[in-house]
Amino acid sequence: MATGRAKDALQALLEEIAAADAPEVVAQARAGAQKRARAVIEDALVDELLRAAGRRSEPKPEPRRPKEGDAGDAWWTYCILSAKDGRAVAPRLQGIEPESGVEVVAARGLAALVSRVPLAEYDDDRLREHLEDIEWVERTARAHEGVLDRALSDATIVPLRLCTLYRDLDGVRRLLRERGREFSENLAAIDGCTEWGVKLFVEPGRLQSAPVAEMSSADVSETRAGSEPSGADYLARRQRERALATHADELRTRCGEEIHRQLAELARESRVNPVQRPELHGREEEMLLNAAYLVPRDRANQLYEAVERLREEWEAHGFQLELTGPWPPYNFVAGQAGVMA
Amino acid sequence: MSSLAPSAPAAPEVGAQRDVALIDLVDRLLAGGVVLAGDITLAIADIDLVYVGLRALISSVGAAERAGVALPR
Repeated sequence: MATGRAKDALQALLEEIAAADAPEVVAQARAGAQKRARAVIEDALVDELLRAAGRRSEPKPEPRRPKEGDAGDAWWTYCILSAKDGRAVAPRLQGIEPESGVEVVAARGLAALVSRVPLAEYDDDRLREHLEDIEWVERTARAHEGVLDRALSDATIVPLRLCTLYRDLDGVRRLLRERGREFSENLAAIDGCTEWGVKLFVEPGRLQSAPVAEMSSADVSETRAGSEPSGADYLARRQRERALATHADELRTRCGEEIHRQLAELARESRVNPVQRPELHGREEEMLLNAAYLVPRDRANQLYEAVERLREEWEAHGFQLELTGPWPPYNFVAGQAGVMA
Repeated sequence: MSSLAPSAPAAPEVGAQRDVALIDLVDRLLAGGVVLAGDITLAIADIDLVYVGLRALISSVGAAERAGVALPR
């Protein structure tokens, strides 16, 4: 009985404590549950991330790692073009490695321009090292571009990204067979065209000065009429500065858009890339437009003249236009990676 | 070096301008053009990383030069 009563009392006490503690317990339980749920989610995420990382860093099963001193060759590929054009242009071209001529690999009416390179210098690890050496990159990029430029003067070409390498020519033939349709479509889309690059720059401070001149007279009279204390003056000035900055931003955008609109009319296709940061273009002027135009060869002269005309019109206002080309149509072939800002 | 169509007499000056900035080359050669897996070429994600790294490198070289620092060549 006594024990029974004690039990009841204990039970009652527990219930009382539970009732009193309930909100806290619930809160604690919720926190605990959240913590556990978070842990479960974290674990799942960690697994997923590890799997993704594994997929990235796992060496590709395909390429056999050459042993030290393996004196094999690989084939550096430059571009895809019609087999007929390929055979016509290749004999005149010099590859990226000294004394390696450019050769043609043809299949199904298409061809790839390739040249032999020593595998020991171009396997995964060596390439990775080379790509950290800016002088190697520059030399190789200019040599690659040199081949494309000379091919471009007589043919329509689909440029390939730097460092596309094959172990043997069968791999290149397989590529032409497997992706032939896509390459043919690419070639048709860019047929007879080359790419031109146009950049627009503005001198520092130029876009601010025009609106300042046109707004300042109004501002001055306003300030005099009011003759407020300096705190209000300060606020008004800040407001004007903000308005000017906004105005300048709008002007920047409009200038770039206007020039692009006029040039795009002459192009079969156009593309606006992100502007380069000052450290990249190395100029004092601010870049407002970084565009590429796919222009039929017989209209290249018109583009050139349009740029000259725009240059004359705009240079007095502190704008500079830079035209480069003709480029292989890097910006107008499918399968390209996006340009990162 | 690269010549224009005969109908473009005014432009050869531009066409001959092959002294292009490295950044323009890198922007086109590493970020443009058709991307093929190849047999040996680095994974596509790796090339993107290389591209970002190169831009950073060109940036820092450019910034140093603008600041008047002579870099060892």
